[in-house]
Amino acid sequence: MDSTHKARTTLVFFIFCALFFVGVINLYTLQIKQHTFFTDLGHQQYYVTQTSYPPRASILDRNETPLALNKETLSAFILPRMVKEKTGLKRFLKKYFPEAHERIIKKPNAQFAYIKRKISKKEKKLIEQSGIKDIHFLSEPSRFYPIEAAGILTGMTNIDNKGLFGIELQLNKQLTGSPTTTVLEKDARSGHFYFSKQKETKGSDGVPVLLTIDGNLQFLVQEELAEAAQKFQSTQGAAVVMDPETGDILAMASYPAFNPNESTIDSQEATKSTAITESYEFGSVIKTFCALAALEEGLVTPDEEIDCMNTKTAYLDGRKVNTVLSLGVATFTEIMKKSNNIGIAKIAKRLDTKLYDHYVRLGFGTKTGVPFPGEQSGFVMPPERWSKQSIISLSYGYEITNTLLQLARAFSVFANDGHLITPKLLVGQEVPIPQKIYSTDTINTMRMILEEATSKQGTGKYAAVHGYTTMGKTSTTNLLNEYGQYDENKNTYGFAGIIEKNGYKRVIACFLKESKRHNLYASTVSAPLFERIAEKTLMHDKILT
Amino acid sequence: MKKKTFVVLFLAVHVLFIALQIDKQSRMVKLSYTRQKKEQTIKTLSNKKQALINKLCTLRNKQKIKTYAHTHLKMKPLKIKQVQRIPDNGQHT
Repeated sequence: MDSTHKARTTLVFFIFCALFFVGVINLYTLQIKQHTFFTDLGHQQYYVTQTSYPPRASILDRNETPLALNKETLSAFILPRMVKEKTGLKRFLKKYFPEAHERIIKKPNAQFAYIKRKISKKEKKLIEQSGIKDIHFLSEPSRFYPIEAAGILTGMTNIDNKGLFGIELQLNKQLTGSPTTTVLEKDARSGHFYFSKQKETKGSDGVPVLLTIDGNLQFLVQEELAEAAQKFQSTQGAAVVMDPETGDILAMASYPAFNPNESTIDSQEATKSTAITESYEFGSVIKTFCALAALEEGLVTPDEEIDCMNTKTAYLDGRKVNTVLSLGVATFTEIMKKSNNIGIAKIAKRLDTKLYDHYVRLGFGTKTGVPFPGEQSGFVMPPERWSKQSIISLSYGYEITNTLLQLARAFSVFANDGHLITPKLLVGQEVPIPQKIYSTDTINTMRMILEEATSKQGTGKYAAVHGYTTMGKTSTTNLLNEYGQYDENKNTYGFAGIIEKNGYKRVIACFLKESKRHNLYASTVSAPLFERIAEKTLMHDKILT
Repeated sequence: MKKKTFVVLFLAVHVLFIALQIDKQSRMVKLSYTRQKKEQTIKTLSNKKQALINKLCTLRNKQKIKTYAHTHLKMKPLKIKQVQRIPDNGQHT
């Protein structure tokens, strides 16, 4: 072997050694140094992490009739970077979806852009007929509310199907459940299918919510309330039907109402469950509790005669007291029957600060604890802030604000042998054991007085349902105007009462606010409304004579 | 046993095992595919069931029923005094 050949062989050997070395370095880089990077890259190509959300749980009424269900709605979208027919698309969007057109023009290089979420059938047809292939559809979950009248309680979800108000908001977490995360092993060609599936996080399904309300009764009460509100051209109203023994709220209607199936709501006011979220000075109906307190304290008897001064305007301790019907010397029962402010104010003076204690005992000024967002606690003027007027005002329902639900709850003591129950909106809702807060004798006396108030001579005569025991009290109140003064032309007309027959009992409270018609009183506005609601409730529950 | 026979047998058994393994894997993939298809069918059917329930609820819309009863059937709301319980004397069938 000559030296040239030897040199060539050595050169080739070293070249191969160098190549081998490069190979080893490369392998080291790929296998060891960049191991994590390439492993991750491989995982990304073969493993897909998928998060699946359970369907939102239903909301049902006490008979398990659905009040809120799921439905699939379509959303239209485009992929701006991949649009093929730009001119046609722009023209179409400008004409039919101008808001989307403007949004897309601002971000032409976005990966994804919605044209509209939750499109209607008409809009879907319009897009399909346009023949533009760049517009795609995406199915998204949303809610459907079969009983629109219950919308005020169920509330509704937003565009992302999360609770916006009502029970949907209050129990959003329970209804939503938690998502399940799975890792799918798949390749580029497997599409929707996978080779294996591994759970990473186990989720849980949403738990259905069972409300105490009865869907059919809710509809009937809502209809009656709306009809009365329209008849008297009222701006607002509410009604509650409650079982006084269990505390179950069977119906709770509000006016104005809204349709939860409509994506647009005319006014925020309509979404309020007025019976819970609004507190008012309810006026004369509060006399019932002043009378209850006085009887319990032994400061008055039903037959005691009190001088009501035979006038519509009197002065007590220099404070002006107005009343609708003048009375001379009248029995305590007569005062309640005719709803005389002068007589009840005189009784309240005997109670003094004890009146406040009784109102607090009846739950006024404290939230009922019903699981509903925005519940108001109301307010009772505490004795340390009383003026000379306060005791007089408190006796006939001023300087005390409460919700309609608080009123219904307080009225339940008359149907429940003096026990104060806690209103329930959810089946299975844990509530404290009802406490007996008034003696049976006092309750029986008050029941007799309240029955008299709905007799032919009482202010609540139009509330009476023939053939049934009706008890109740009317209230006509002046509302405060923008200057903080009571306006005689701005009123609320309320009625709270009980309807009974052979052990069957229902507490019904209702009110209408600010009628455009003048010279109205609760006796002709809310008492007939009570009677209509009571009739519908009785017929619904098949309590016939 | 001859060495050649042993080698052939050894290789044949291995090839058989590999074939069985491939068969097992392909059966698993096939069954997984069938399962996923069935899962998709269940999902589609659930959606259809939900849509039908929604449709049924829409048809039971109380407001529409009331309007229909008032306008088409000329029905009027009842007062409770117009309703009476029929005594159950066991005569009706």
